[in-house]
Amino acid sequence: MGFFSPLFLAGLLGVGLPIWLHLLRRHRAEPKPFASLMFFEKRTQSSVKHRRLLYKLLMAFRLLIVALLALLFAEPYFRQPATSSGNRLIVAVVDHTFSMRAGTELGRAKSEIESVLSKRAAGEEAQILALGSNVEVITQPSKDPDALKAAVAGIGPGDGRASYGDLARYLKTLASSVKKPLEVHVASDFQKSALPSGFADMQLPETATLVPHRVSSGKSPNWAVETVSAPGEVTDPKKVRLAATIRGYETDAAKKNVTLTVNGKVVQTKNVEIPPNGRTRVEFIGLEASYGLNRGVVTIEGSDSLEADNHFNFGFERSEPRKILFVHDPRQTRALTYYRAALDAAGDSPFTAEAVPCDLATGQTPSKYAFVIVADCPALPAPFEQALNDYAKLGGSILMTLGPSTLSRDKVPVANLAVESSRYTGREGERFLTAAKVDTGHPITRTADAFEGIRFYQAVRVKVEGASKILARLSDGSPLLIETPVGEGRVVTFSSTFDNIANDFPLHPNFVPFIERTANYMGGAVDRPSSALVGSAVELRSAKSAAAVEVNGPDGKPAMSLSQAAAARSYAFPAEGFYEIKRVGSKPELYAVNPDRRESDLEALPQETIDLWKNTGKTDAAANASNPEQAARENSWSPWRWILFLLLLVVVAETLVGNRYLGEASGESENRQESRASKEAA
Amino acid sequence: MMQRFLNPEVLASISSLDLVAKTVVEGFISGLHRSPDFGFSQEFAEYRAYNPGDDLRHVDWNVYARSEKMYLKRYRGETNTLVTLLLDQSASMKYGSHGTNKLDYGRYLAASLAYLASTQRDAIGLVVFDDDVRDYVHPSGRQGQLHRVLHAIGNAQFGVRTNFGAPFLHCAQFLSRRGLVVVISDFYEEPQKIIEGLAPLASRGNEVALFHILDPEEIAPKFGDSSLLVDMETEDTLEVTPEYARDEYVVKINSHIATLKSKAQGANMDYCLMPTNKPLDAGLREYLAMRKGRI
Repeated sequence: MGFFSPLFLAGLLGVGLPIWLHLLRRHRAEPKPFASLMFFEKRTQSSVKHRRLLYKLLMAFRLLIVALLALLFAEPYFRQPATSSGNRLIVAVVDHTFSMRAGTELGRAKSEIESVLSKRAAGEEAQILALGSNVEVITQPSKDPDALKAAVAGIGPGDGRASYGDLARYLKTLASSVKKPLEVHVASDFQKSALPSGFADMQLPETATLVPHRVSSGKSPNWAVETVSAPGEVTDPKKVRLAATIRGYETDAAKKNVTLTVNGKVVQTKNVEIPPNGRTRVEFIGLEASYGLNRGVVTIEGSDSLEADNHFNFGFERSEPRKILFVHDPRQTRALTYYRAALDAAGDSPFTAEAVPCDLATGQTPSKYAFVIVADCPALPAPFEQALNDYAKLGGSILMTLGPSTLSRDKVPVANLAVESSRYTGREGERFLTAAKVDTGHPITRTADAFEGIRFYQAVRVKVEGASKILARLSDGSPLLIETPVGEGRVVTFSSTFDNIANDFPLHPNFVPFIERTANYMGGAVDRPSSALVGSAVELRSAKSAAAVEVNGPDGKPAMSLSQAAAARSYAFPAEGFYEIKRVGSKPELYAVNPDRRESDLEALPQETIDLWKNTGKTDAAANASNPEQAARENSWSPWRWILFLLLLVVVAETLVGNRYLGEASGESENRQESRASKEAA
Repeated sequence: MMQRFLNPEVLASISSLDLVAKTVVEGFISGLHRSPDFGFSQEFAEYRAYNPGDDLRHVDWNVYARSEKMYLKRYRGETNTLVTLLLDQSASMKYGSHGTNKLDYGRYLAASLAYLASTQRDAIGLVVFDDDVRDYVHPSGRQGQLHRVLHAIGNAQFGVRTNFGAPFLHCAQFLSRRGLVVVISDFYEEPQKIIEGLAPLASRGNEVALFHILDPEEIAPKFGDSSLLVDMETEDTLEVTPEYARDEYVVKINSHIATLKSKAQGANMDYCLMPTNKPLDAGLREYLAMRKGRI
């Protein structure tokens, strides 16, 4: 037992006050001289005895009140037995993240944990956790040594990325559920990269004691393929430009051969010089790939501390380019020229434009194309216009550009936007329009500078009504880009042209990305990445869809059970490799999954940081040494509530006894007065 | 008839003892309407023939008118009555719950009696005692005797314990003539012992009168709480409950008073209880009335 504020015990001297009041003052009454005691006898009556008892009881209560007050302020506490072996849970955490593949670190970590388990007291509960992309519960709290040992032995190497923040969060949840002290043994390489963004996220629960088991020296030279930048969809393999970044951690300058392999076949090898502890970029141009899904790997030759990160997977699909129907006024071909040039400049674009004059579009079938562009046509054949309407209603996309030829019409075809007027400006001075308000939330105009610096000399003003949405406006307030939903499809109207006459847009650098984004949006091209990280998830189905989805793992076997495949809405990639996802009614998708490259940095946490982490659980018991009182508070039980309760009881008792005592005293006084009065009257 | 009695506390404010005595006695006499039959020695005894030189004031002019012979009225007192005052100055006489303690009251009483006797030309003497004789003024009828007695009364100091044996035996040796012995005390002794102590005085033919001086608090104590009492003579202490003082003590002290009175009367002694809150002249009046009735 101890006291947090022992100085308040000096308040116990206050017990002298009631003693003085009750005894000293009482006995200080001077003896009363009397002529003779001849007729007196020593005798006390029961009522006097009772009063004296009350008097002593009253004094005892008052002494108790003073003593309890002093005790309350002194804050007594009892030290709780330090984590008695029978009342704690040993939590053994094995780090099996990607970095633990270096050397024999995983094996050493498991040995450390097995050693901890073997040393625990008989009957003591332990729980095995594995730290990967998430905290994996390998066993529930158990006393069975064989089960625990088997659980540890069963932990294999993983490709996840550790986060000590996740571990701390899990431990907090565990501590609140088990209601007993935790002794957390963590066997890990304690990578610096596993620190969360805020150190506070690593705060351990108050009842947890962290025992770190470091299994690496912390300084190991390691090279890794950090990233590979490749398109997810390829139409012309020869034009593909692939870039890989090679990074060295704690390394000297070195020359390495970097190999590009597609579908197991070495395509190219390059020798690169990597600066000490730095990175370099390698470019491969052209891929030899067959149509369909292709699996590529960029590999560094040679060995280092962590060989598992010496290669990087990426996947892509080779397909024929999809056609765009470009309907235009045959007298004006500039727009077609600029559009095709922009598509070509966009790199390996999956689209190619097929031009058709407006008056010859009658026999065209829009549904055969990725989308349709109607570029400033004065009039469309009625059958074709009807076909366009049907096409849009069934989900097709149409891009309309409006120019002088459009003015002959009352309305924009399909979109049904009323043509109000044409706005012309001169080419001199500042007499031109610019794009003002741009909706950056739309895929086409997602960059605020989509129309920056572009001069518009002529634009057709249309009246926007109904469900149409204005994506950009000109500086005079007239709509520049409008999206109109039609049935299941949509019509995007550009109120100017692509011909470098009504504006200088085609000559502007923003034209190519605009065309690329528009084509991808209208044509439904998915900008799918060529690779994903271990632990990331892919959506398998929407909430309403019940169609089966099949996921095949790196070994080619189904990665999910039948029930999971029938119900799961997403799938998180658990390990490195190529995953193929097959959905009903669509082409198979290939996902190349790689471990998070932050795991490649094997630099370990300094011991000071680990010590700091160990103390976070002791809430600022932070530091036992610097603040022993606080530490005592954390590990102690204070009976202040009971003392307060007892104090209240004593106060109530003192009040009752005091009232009774005073009542008797006043009763006697009244009796005496009455007897005097009666004698005097007699 | 309205009586104006003298409060003892008023007497206490008068510093001069002879003035106190004079005030008491004069007031007392005036209260009696100048009755010719008053005093210790004024009892009518017989007539005698006038002789030249006799005080003409004592001639019974009524008889002279009827018989033309001059006769003088003779009183018993004129047989040289000796009045001896015994004043108790023991420590217990110091007690007083109000302005006047018992010794002061006794002083006033003794002085008043001395003055009264002096006016009748009786010889007066004084014995101040506690456990022994502390002061003694030989009885005498000479001029200035009253002042000597008053002086001795005034000089009485608080003594120690009371003893009714040795002092009275000692006094008996002084008193060679018969007379009136007045004992002024609080009589804290067994009544039987008191009477036995006074027996040597009474046996010589003296009339003995006991003036029992008690404070009202001694007769009916009023203690608010348990009190630690200290005996003023023995200095013994005793814690006394108010209930006891209120009930049993009162019974005992009343019994003591009654016993003492009974035994005194049995021994042919006068007894007069004089609480110190009782006006002195009223007390004297009662005593003299009682004495007259007895005679």
